[in-house]
Amino acid sequence: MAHAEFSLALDTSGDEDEDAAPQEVTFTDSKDAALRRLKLALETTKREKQELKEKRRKRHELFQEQKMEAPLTQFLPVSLQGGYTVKTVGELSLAASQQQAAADFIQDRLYGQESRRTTTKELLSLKSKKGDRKAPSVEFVKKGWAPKHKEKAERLKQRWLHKQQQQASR
Amino acid sequence: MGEFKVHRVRFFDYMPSAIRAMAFNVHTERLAVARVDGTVEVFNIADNCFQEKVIPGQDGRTIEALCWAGGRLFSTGLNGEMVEYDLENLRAKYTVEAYGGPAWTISSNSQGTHLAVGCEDGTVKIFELLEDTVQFKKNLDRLKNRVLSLSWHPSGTQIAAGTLDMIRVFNVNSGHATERMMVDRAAGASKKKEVLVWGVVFLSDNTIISGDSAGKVQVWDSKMGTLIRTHLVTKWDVMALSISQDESSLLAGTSEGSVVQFQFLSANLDQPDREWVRTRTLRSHSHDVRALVHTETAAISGGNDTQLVVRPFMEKVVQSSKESAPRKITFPHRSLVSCAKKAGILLFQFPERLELWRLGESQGNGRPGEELSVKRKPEALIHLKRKGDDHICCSALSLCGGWLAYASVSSVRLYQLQYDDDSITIAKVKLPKVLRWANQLCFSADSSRLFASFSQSSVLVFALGQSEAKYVHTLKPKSVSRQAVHLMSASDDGKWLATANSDCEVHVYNLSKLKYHCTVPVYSSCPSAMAIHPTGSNLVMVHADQQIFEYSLVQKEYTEWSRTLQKIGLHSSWLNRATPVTHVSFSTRNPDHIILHDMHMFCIVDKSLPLPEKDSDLYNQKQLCSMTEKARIKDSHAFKICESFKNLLCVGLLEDHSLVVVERPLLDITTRLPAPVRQKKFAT
Repeated sequence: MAHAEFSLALDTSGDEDEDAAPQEVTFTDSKDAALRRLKLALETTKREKQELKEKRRKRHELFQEQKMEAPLTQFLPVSLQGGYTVKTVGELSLAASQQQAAADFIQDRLYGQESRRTTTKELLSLKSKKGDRKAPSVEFVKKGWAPKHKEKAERLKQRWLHKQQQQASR
Repeated sequence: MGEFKVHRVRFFDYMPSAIRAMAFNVHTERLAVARVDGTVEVFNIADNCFQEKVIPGQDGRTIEALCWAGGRLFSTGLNGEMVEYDLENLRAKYTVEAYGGPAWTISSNSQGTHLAVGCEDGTVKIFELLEDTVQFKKNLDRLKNRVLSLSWHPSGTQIAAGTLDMIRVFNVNSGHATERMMVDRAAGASKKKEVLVWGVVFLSDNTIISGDSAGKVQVWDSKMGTLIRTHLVTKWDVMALSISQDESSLLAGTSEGSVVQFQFLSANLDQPDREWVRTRTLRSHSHDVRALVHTETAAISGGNDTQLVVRPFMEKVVQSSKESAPRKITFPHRSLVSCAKKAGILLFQFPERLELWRLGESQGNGRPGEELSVKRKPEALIHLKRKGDDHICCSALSLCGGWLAYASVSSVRLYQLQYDDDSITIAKVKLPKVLRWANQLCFSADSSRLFASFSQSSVLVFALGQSEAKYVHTLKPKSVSRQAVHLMSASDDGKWLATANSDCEVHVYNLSKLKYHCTVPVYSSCPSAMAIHPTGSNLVMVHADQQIFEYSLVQKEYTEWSRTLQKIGLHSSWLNRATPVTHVSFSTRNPDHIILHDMHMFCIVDKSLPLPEKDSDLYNQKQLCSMTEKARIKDSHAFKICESFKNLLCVGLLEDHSLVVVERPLLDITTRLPAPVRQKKFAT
């Protein structure tokens, strides 16, 4: 903020006529300027927050996608899906636990925290953006993408519409 | 070409498994490919990369590495076992516990006498190859960390082993480590993160080349244990290395999906000193490249995007010939879909289950190209999970839809289905004990018999009665081939049965006499699809090199049409197609029509029309549409090709003369692949 004021001062001093008396700045003008600055600062923080949020969302999406690869439910009979709990039945045998450890090691190295990976969605969307035939992001092209998210979005939209209608009727 | 009502099926949820390892046998030109689900496939590179054999996987058996030793194929996996495969009966021959925890890598010496296995506990175990089995010989000096990669020196006296942060060289005779070469960790990454040496190659001039998780390809002098040169190839991992037979060219596969070639060249023409120079980059994958093979003329790569890609080197092949075309093998070269054409029911085969679907119905008729409104939606009837650990290797559905059978390497199961108005009942039918496993299954057209191909190309015949199956006879060919049958087809009139094996032999049996009838003259390329004409008793075969033959079973000779076709020769555009024909069927209305399909198109061959001329356009259906009637007759030829449907898994003709087209869009497969690496693209 201080920096902005300083530059403002420079601006006024850089006028063509150096000897002329300083321009009269009305109280409302300076108030407006201050308000503008305040607004700008607010917007900046808001945008930064948004960006951070977006970054977190992308990370979350990546984790979700990795998680989706082998949903536990597919191994369960239909009758059990929904109301199940997970329990360890017993100790794994030595060979099985070693195998699991080795598989975890490679999974961690290739897809773990520092693996610098993106999501398949991102890759496909980039391809359609950069390719010869331009197309929108893949979730708009492929209808079956992220059914849960879409369902939730639809539900929220309905709720919002309902709220709007209620407010209007009041 | 005729008009059809088309059922465009997109609900076959087929998902190929990622490629994990590959091994190439130079002498037989066979490429073995291991997938993450434990399946091993054998491709014949000399025969248009045809997928000759598929060895189904097993739950719990994972494969990390493959290797050929002579004509024998071995694999190791994280379950700590070493497996030898029976390439004749398409199953695991035996497994040997390596006793070193998960086994990461396996390599055989160039003499084919010994195998080295690298284990989780840091040991390199040497096995000796005996006639029918392998025998543990010794351990080399134990390392502190897991051994991720191994390579024998061509002389067979030394082994290079890649582990965490380090490459060790062993003397095989003494078992002691002779050299130790430390590999730098990635710059900028956390110090705690060890660098993994994913691949090593030991050359005959005692040079070792390594590829690691820091993205480096490094050239080492193994005698002095010193680093000669470092090439930074990628920001991610170099996951696979492969060297050409003459040791003049090297390939490195990266997580970015690119394959980088290095060549051993001299900087100036007159200088004798040669060094490894990075020469070209091939980009054919969207995901990590996990396995690589350098053949004499091509780079073959495979990875997490499940595709096998063959990229020929342009300086090694004749330009614009068949060999110079790059190939992408996405779908298996055999059918995973069975179609009950009388009932309009489809059977989809997955490794762990079968799905039975009833096709939908449409309303009214429309103009060509128009979409009809659906009156009844397609519905899933049965979701049948297999029993046991072994993956399903084949399945069959009878033409009436009343019988269903599937087989794995350890069992064969038969089910009878009954359709009521709304419900469906499934009953298991006991099979006689003679049938323990099968390579191929097939029902007769009237659903009264089941044929199951067994060892040494023999076929067992069962009679199907009211909820029982009786053993009738074993059909045996008059040949010495021990190879498994990969195609089997019964004729619609119930007279004939034809089998084809990977020795390219096609045997025909007479079903009314239950006797061997004849063998079709052996052609050099493997048959990729065949079927017997429902009325004419002619056998139509399409081979991996795209040749088409028609053989008269009554006269035991090639038909006149087939001879004319061979004399004139097939059109060059037909011969240059990269994917083999996987299905042959016939039109019920016009006996002259043969329906063929591969991954990218389906084709109706009209035998009554003249064959295409050499300089004419083979794909001329669209042009014909815009012509006048007269010109159309003049320009039309026998090959009517339709390319409106993409990524085909099956094209079949139902009894009501409507087509079933089973598509699997590649985008659907891509969306289910694991996460790719994040690459910066300019202006995004």
